[in-house]
Amino acid sequence: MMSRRKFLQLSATVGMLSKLGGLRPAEAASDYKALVCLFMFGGNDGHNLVVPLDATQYAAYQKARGALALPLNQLLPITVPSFGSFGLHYALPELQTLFNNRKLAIISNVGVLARPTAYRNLSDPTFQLPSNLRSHADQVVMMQTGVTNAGNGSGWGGRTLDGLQANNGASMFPVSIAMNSPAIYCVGAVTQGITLQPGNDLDQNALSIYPPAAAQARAAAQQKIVSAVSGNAVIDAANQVMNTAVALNPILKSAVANAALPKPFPQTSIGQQLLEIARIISLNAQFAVGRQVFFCGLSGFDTHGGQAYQQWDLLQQTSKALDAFYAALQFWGIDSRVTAFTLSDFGRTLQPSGSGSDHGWGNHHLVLGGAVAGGRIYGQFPLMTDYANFNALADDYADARGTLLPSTSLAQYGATLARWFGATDAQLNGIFPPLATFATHDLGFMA
Amino acid sequence: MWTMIGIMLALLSSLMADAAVAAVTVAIDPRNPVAVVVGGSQQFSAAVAGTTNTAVTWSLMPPSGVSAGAIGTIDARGKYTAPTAPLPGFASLTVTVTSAAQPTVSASNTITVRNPTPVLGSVAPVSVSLGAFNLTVAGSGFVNGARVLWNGAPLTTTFVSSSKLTSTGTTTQLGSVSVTVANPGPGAVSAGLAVKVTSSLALSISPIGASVTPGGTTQFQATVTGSTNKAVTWSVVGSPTAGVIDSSGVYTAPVVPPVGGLATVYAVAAADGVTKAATTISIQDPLAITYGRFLEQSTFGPTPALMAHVRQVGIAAFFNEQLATPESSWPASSAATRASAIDAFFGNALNGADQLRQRVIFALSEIFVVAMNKNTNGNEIVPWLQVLSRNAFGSYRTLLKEMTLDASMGKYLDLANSGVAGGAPNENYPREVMQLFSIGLALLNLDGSVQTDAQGNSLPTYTQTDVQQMAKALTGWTYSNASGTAGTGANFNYYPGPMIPAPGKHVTSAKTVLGRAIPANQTIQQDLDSAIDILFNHTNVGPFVATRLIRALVTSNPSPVYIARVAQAFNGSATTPRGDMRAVLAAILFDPEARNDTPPGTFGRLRTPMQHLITVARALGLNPGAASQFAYLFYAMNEGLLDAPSVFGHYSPFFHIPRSPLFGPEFQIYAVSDAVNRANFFYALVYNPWPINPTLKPFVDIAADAAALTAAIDTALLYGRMLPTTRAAILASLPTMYDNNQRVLNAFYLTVTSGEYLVQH
Repeated sequence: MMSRRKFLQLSATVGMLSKLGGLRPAEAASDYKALVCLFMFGGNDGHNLVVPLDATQYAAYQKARGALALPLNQLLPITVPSFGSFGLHYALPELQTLFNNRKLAIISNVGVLARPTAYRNLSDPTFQLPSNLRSHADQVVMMQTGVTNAGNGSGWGGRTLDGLQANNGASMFPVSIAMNSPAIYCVGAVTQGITLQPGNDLDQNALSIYPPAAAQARAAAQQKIVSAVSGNAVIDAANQVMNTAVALNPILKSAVANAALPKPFPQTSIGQQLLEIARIISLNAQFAVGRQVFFCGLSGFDTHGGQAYQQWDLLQQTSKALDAFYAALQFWGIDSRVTAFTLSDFGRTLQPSGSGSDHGWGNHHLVLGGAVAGGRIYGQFPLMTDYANFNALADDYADARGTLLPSTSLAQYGATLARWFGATDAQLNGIFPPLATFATHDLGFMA
Repeated sequence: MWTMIGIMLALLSSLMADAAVAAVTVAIDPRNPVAVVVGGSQQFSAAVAGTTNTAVTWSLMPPSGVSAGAIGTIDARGKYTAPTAPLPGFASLTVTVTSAAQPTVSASNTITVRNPTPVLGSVAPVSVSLGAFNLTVAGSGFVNGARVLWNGAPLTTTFVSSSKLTSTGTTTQLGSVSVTVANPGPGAVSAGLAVKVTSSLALSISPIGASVTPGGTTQFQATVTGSTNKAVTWSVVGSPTAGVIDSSGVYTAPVVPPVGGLATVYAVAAADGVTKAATTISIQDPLAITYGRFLEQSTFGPTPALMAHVRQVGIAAFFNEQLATPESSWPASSAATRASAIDAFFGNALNGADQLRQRVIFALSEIFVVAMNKNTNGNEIVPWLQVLSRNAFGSYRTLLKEMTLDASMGKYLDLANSGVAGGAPNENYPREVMQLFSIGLALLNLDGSVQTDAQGNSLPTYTQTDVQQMAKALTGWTYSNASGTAGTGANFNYYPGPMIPAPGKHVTSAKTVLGRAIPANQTIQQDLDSAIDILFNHTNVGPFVATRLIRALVTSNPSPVYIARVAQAFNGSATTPRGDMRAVLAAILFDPEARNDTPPGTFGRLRTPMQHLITVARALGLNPGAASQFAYLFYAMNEGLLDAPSVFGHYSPFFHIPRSPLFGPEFQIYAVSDAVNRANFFYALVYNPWPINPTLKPFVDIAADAAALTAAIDTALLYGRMLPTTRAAILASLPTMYDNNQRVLNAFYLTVTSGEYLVQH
């Protein structure tokens, strides 16, 4: 039986929909695509994400990493055509399966670069390097903005959406969504980033009151207040936030909260973030959304000490959450429309410092989805080095502690994803300013 | 055969009865005294145990002096029938039931015969005046001796007939009275009918809707009609804190108005001592906006007492008082816990007498960031707070230097033991002290605008080489310890007291930082002073600090000339040294742009959740309790207390209002989910404990008057500036609310979550 209150909610929903305009719930978005960024805050140690199993290389790895080296028998083997044998961190059995099922690709040694960079360029004071390398604050921003100096006001997810507004038609449903706190990745010149929290449908407790007429009157009063023009732009902007929340509330509530899932999402922060993203993705046809970008993340990868446990814990959370996410998309038949990928501040030094490692530069990243040409490693995988003599090896390292000198730029990595998403070549050059300086604009990992 | 068995059984039964006399019992039901209406009946029953012979006999016994013929009858089955009149004096008769098998065994109960319950049909008149009155009561079932009851008290009553009574009485109480009729004896009272008591007097007060300044006076007049006695008695609800009124009707408002600024004045007519009239008076400070805005910018918000104080001494004297007010206390750094650090940070802001200092600490805490996600325990946080507190009104150079050597910061940005334990000089603090604490990334003009080259690119303040050179200059500092001595290597983490030099661990080569030379072979302290001097004297610091502090205290979008005036104050003069925070704060707070009470449409800044909560609590006198108990809720509002997610703080000073050219740093933590979480937080604050926080009772008392309630909330929170749209929306929604508590919650919720309250303007 439908309660009076439930009926009111539904009425409100219908009212909102007509107000938001142009929503055609029954019409499927025929070419929906989503990009989902999973940010590993703190700088994931990619050297232990994927390890070469070739006897010579593993021996070099073991020597270089000392106490941080993962035992050979713990690594999860993956076979990579033309690259040889590699092993994933033992926290990643689900990702091992996805890799072997060709849904997961590894992009090796990616980092922010202003232009193609060789080791000899590092000592050239006139050479253009990204500013503030190894600084968390700057590199977290740069990975998201795709710009190699600070002070940029938009991110490459938002800018990619800027060029694809036509795909979202008249839909007012949020298209650029960060989980838990705002991410500049989601902000474009015209694309507004929205921040949501898992399980938070923006219900205001104060609007659940008795009698229903009072709840309606309170909601109506709030609507008048937050949509009024005060003459002060800051006040109006604050009201606009609540106005947006009020409009989104019934839309989010209409998401199928308990849509059938093939396997449960873990009760971890990243698990719940990805569940919320999946839930929103499931609404795309209802709200005629054509393109969406998402941003989620987990913190704690800044493993200066105690890395062995800490990184295992974070990676196993990541693996289980991504596994549940992919399974849901596959179950719904939309896995080829959604691509998830990782970013992180930077990689870490191959050389340990005590029980951890220090800030580096280049790093290995993961791309997951039905449209990914998975089961392969892309880019140039660095040779393990005796970092004391690293100069001898072709531009793989930037310093004597085993900081990777990126062989693939963030711009190339991002552009490959953005091109799949629908960005044109001309748009890509605007989204990623350094891209034009690189010969390859598509790394080929998207089918 | 069967007969014989029957005889034997009878014998057996008789033998058994003889053998167990005490085993036979009789019980009567009902067993408690009963009242039976005249002519009515009551069925009794008996339960016999201990014998198969359950036969009984019923009998009645009159009370002393009453004849057996006047007490009714009872039949063989226990049915009692009452007589047609009560027994004299409503005396009780006794009903007894006796076992046939054992006649010595019986049970009894008592019966009272009562009059019928009268039925009340009408009362005339339905309205009487104060004083003597006559009533005529019609109905049925009245018996001689029936009395009319006035709110339960008997009136002088005359029995006219079984359907009519008359009575007389006097009343001194206005309002509705319940009239009933009681027949003599027990249990015979009718249902009630209402009679209204009115006054023949009329009393009115003027003026209505008056307002008065705090401490000011207003003459009230009372007009009495319907009596030659025109005198009244005046009173004020909650006097003297809500004001006083003299016998001639002159009301004097309190210097510190009650929350909401409303007082209720009563007059009572002397003619009857009952008739009264009331009016509310609004205690309005014509300069409430002026003082309120100044206090919003310079403190965590006005309390009624602080408003009164500033009204008395003026804003300039208040500012100087604040500069001289002693620091609120902090937990000892050696003993501080996470909870005690949070409670001190929040509690000092809420209740500290040093409000200006607390507000500056809050501003500086978003510039010089240390956070619990790295400095996990309170003892690692408190020293940093102490540095901010100690230097809030001092020299920015001292602040920079003490912050550089602060052990909390030493841990947070890794300067502690940089170069001490081998390896390259740590670049973390050297980079951030330039980027975030002093000069920023781009060269600035005095008015805060960015200097650019011919192509429009901003000119960077420093290079990676500068970072490395600065890092060398700042090598060699290690944690102190109980004895304040450095060992041969890195000291363990230790937070009471600043870091100390580690002998021989300083890079002594010559450095060049920002184009200025630091000579070789200086001591570690000399290098520190050189480095601090280079930063402190950089031309960027004035506009850098001016922009950040103006954004934190006054407005997110100051005009360039405002920034320039404050930057100039930072730069100093013939009489004021460079970097004097007192001069900087005075320049910020007394600037005409800050003091313009009708500011332009880009003016203001969004309150953070902590500021929002404390401002509400101070305005209303709410006590939210120890912040450590609800600190977890602040994470959902993206303002983890003492726990910014990064060295950039909770929000970037460069964050723009979405889709706007305007800056709005605090909007970074006001996304849709933040807005709803914040609204839910405030709703819980005002409804706990259910149904409403008792602090809000003064508002509940006036909530029946929608206009008065809205005005009181406007006065308490917005100094009477509430936008007409907000006021109209609240007024329109109030009548549907369930009760006065809900009306108050409604008005508060809508106000506290509105843009005009969220934005300090």
